[in-house]
Amino acid sequence: MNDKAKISRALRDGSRRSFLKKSAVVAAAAATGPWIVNSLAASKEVKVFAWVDYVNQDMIDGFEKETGIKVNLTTFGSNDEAEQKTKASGGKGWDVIFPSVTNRANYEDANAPGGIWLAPIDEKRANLKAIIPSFLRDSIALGAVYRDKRYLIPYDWGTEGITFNSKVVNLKDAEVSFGDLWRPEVKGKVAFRQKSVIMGTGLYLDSTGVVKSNRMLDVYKSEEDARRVWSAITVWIIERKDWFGAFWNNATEATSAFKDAGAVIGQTWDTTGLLLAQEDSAYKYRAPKEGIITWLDSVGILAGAENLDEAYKFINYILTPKVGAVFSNKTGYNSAVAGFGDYTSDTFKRQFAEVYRPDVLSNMWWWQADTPWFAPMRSEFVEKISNA
Amino acid sequence: MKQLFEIYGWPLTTFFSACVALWLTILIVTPQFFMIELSLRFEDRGDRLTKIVNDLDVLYRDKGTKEYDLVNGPACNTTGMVNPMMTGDSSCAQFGEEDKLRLEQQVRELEDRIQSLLVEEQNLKEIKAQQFPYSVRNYTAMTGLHAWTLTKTVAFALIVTLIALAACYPVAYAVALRSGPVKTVILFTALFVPYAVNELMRIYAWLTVFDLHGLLNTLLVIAGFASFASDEVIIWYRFPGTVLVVLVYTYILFMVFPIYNTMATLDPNQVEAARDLGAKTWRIHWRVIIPHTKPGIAVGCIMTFMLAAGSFSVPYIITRGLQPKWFTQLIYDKFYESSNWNLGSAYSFTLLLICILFIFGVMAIFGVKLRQLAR
Amino acid sequence: MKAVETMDRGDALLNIFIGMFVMFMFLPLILMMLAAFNSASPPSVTSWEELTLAWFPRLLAEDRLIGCLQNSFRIAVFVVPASVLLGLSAAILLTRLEGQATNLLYACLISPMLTPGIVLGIATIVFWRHFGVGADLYTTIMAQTTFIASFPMLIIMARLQRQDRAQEEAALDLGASPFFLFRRVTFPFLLPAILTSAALAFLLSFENYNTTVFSIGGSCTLTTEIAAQARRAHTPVINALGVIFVTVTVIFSLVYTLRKQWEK
Repeated sequence: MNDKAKISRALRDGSRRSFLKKSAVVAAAAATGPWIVNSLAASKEVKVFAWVDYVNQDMIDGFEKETGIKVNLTTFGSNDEAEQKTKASGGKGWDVIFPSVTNRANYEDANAPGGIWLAPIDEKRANLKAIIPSFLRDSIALGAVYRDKRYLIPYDWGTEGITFNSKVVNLKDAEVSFGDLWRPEVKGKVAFRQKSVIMGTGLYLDSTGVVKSNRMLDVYKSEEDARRVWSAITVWIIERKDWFGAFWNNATEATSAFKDAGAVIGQTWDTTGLLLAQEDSAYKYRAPKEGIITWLDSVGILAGAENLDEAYKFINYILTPKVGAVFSNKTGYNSAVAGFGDYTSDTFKRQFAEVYRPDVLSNMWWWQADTPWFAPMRSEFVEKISNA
Repeated sequence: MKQLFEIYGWPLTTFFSACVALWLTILIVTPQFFMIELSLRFEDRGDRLTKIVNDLDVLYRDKGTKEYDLVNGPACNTTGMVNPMMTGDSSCAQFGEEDKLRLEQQVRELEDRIQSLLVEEQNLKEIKAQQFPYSVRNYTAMTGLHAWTLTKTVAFALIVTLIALAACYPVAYAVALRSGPVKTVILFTALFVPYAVNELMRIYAWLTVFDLHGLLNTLLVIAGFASFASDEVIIWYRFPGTVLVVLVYTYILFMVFPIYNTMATLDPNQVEAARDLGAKTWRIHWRVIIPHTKPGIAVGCIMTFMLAAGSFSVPYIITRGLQPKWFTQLIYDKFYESSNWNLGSAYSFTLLLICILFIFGVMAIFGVKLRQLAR
Repeated sequence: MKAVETMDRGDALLNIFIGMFVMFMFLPLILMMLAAFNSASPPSVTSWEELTLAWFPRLLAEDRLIGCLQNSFRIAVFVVPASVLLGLSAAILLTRLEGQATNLLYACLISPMLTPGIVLGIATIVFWRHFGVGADLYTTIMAQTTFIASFPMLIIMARLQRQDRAQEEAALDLGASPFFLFRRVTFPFLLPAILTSAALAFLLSFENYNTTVFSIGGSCTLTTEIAAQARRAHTPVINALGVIFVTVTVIFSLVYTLRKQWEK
C-alpha cells in the first residue's frame, strides 16, 4: 500500500472523536489531581500520625468495631520527623498526631494558618477528665499550652535508661550508670541514639564533675551555656568513638541493634529493654543512678484536620483505661490515663516494679520544654558525633 | 512556527505549545526559582524576636500552671511524678483564702509582663517585615563539617565515575566490537537485566554480602580469621568503602549503555583498516575508537556522576548511621529533621551547581555539544 | 566479522574481564534471591536453615507494604499519561522548530534528566507549599513528571525524525484537515514510540526513589517502604519481593531482546 492509498483510506473511515477532547480530560485530571488522589481514600476515617509502636492492631480493630470509623495510620520514628512531615504536608496530611509534649514549640511556624500547625483542643469534646490530674497540670509547664490555649493532651510517659545483656555485662540494679556505656569491655558493642546520648552521658559527666551542667538543665538556660556543655560532652564522646556499635532512631532500630548488630548494652527507650527482657531474661532494663531520662508524650489535632468528629472520637477512645492498658502491655510505656493500671498484665506490673523502684521514681530527669536554640544546636553536635 | 501551523493546525499547535509551556514553567523553571528564592532567605534563630517568643512561652506556661491550680486546687505532687498504679486522686487540702489571693496577684503580674512583651513582639515583627529579606548567609554559613561532607561526596562521586569508566570501556568494547551476533545478544541481555532491576533491589541485594552473618563474614569465618561464636566479626557497614562499592554497582550500567550505543555505530572495517595498516592496539583505541565514542563517554560520565553525587538511597541504606553522612542525607536532615528548609534549599542548589559545572566541564573536555548528549 | 576470528591474548584477557564483570553484576542479586528461600530470618544465605516458600504468601499479609504498593500505582496512573503527553508535545515542537531558541528550549527540557533527583523533589515541595499544597502523593506526581517527561520526548523525537514528511504534505494536498492528519497519520506512526515511552515512564515512576523520598512527605510508595525496612531488622519478605521483581525483569528483558532480534 502506498502512502496516498493509506492516507485516503484514513480519510474515509475517520471518526469524529476528538483527540483534543481526550487530551483535555487528561489535563483537567492533572489540574484536579490533589482532589482526585485524596478522594481515593475511604470516606469515614480518621488519619493518625503516630510513633511506630503507638497504635497497634488491637486498638485499630477495637475502635473500628466500636465506632465504625476506619483508622488510616502513618508512623514516624522521631519527633523531628513528625514535625517536618507535618510542616511539609501543610498540617493537612493527618487528623491526629502524637508529639512529645516538650516539642510543641516546634510546631509554631509563620507559614501555618494560626501560627501553629496544631489545632487548639476543644476541652468540651475531649475527655480530659480521663487523664491523671497531675499529668494534666505538669503538661502545661512542659509545653502543652500555647498562649492560653491547650494544644496537647498527655497520653503516656516513658523513660530512656540502660538496656544490657546481663550474661555479658553484669551490673547491679542500684549501681547502673550512664557511664557503663563506656566500660572497657563493651567497646564497639554499644547502642544509642545520637540525640540523647549527649544528654545521658552529660548527666554522667555532671555527676562525676567532669562537665558541670546542673544536671543538664544548663542546656535549656541559654545558648552560651548549651554550647559550653554540649561542646565538652561531644569532645568526650568523640574520644570514645570506638565504643559506637549501632545507632538507633526508632524503637524497631533499637531492638535490631541488640538482635542483629551485636550490641550488648545501650541507652534505649523502656520499650526496647522491656520487650527484649520478655523474650530473653538475660536482658535487663534499668534506671541509671544519675536519674532516668523521662519523657511525656501527648496527643493533639492538626490545624488542617478534615475529620474533626472522628479525631475526637479516636482521642476519647484511646483515653479509656482499658485501651490505655492494651497500649501499655504491648509497648511497656506507661499510659497517662487514670486507672489504666487495673487492666495491665502481670508482666507489665512486675516489670514496672523492677525498674521503677521508689528511689528511681523520686529521681527522674524530665525532658524540658524546647527552647529555640535547643533543636538546631543539638543537631549540630549530633552531626559532629555522627561524623566522628 | 509557520511549518507547525501548516501541518498541525492552530488548535493542536496551541495545545502542544501550552503543554510544553506548562511543563517548562510549572514543573521545571518556577520550582527551581522558588527553591533559590527560599535559599536566599536567612532564618536568624538568635535574634531578639526569637528570644521574645521564647520568653513569652515561658511566661504563658507559668501563668497556665497557676491558673490550673486556681481552678483545681493546690498541686500535691510537685515533682510531677505519678505512680501509674495509683488510681484515685490524691487528696489535698483546699487553698486558703490568703494563698488564693497571692496566686491571683501572681497571675496578674505575669499578665502585665506578657502584655508588654506582646507589644514588643508586634513591633519587631513589623520591622522585620520591612527589612530587605535576602542575603547569601545560607551559602556562606556552610560550616567546616558541612563543607567537608560536600567535598567528600563530590570526591566519592568522581571516584565512582572513574572506576565505572575504567570498567565499562572494555565491556562496551567487547560487546560492541569483539563479539559475534549471538554472543552480543547474550552479553547485552546479561547487562540489561541488572540494569532493568529496581535500583533499590540492587542496593538491597548487597545486605546479604555485608550483614553481620553475611557472605563476607562467613568467608572470613571459614578462612579462620573470624568467629561467630565469640562475636569476633567485622561490622562492614562501618567502612566507607561499602558505600563506594555499592554506588559503583548501582550506577555502573548508566556508563555501559551510552558507551556501547555510540561504539556500536562504529564501522568495524575502520578498525580493521587501521589494524591492517599496522597500528598497535592502544593506538587504534586512542585514534579511532575513543574519538568516535566521545559523546557516549561524556553521557556516561555525566549520568554516573550526577546519580552518584545525588544518591540518597545508597548511603541511606548502606551506612546505617555508622558512617559519616552523605551530602544528600545532610540535605534530607535539613528538611525532615532539623527544621531549616532555607538552608536545605541552599545546599540543594549548591549540589545542582556542582552538577552543572561538571556537565559543562565534561562537555568542554570531550568537545561534545548538548544536542549530541541525548541519543 | 573478521574481528572475532582473530583471537589473541588480548581477547582472552578481555573475556576473563567480561566474565568477572557479569559475575559482579549478578552475584549480589543471586544471593539476595537465594535468601528468600531460606527460613532463616533476618535474611541470610550463609546460615541456611530450611528450604521454604513461606515468605511469598507472607507478602500478602504485609498490609503496610500493600498500601504503599497501591500508592505506587496511584502515582503512576497520573505520571504516565502526563509524561507521555508532555513528551509528545515537546517532541513535536522541537522537531518542527528551528533556530537558536530551539536549542535553548531543548536544553531546558532535558535538564531535569541531568538534575539530581533530590533537587527536583525539594524544588517541588518548596514550590507547592506556597499554594498550601503539602508534600504527599500529589507533589510526588509533579516531581516525577518533571523528569520522566524527558524520556518520552527523546523517544518520540527519534521516531519523528524518521518520519517521511512527504506523507504529511500529500495528505494536506488531498484536503485533509491538519487535525485529521495528526489523528490518522502522525499519531498512528508515533504509536509504537508512544507505547514504548509509556512503558518506560511506568517503570521510571514505579522504581523511583531519590525524588520520591523528598517529595512524598509522610506517605509511602513501595520503594520508600523497602528502603525504610532495609535499614532496620526485617524478614526475608523483602527478598521474596526481590525474587518477583527480578523474575519479571528477566522475562521482560528476554522478550524485549528476542523481539528486537526478530525484527532484524
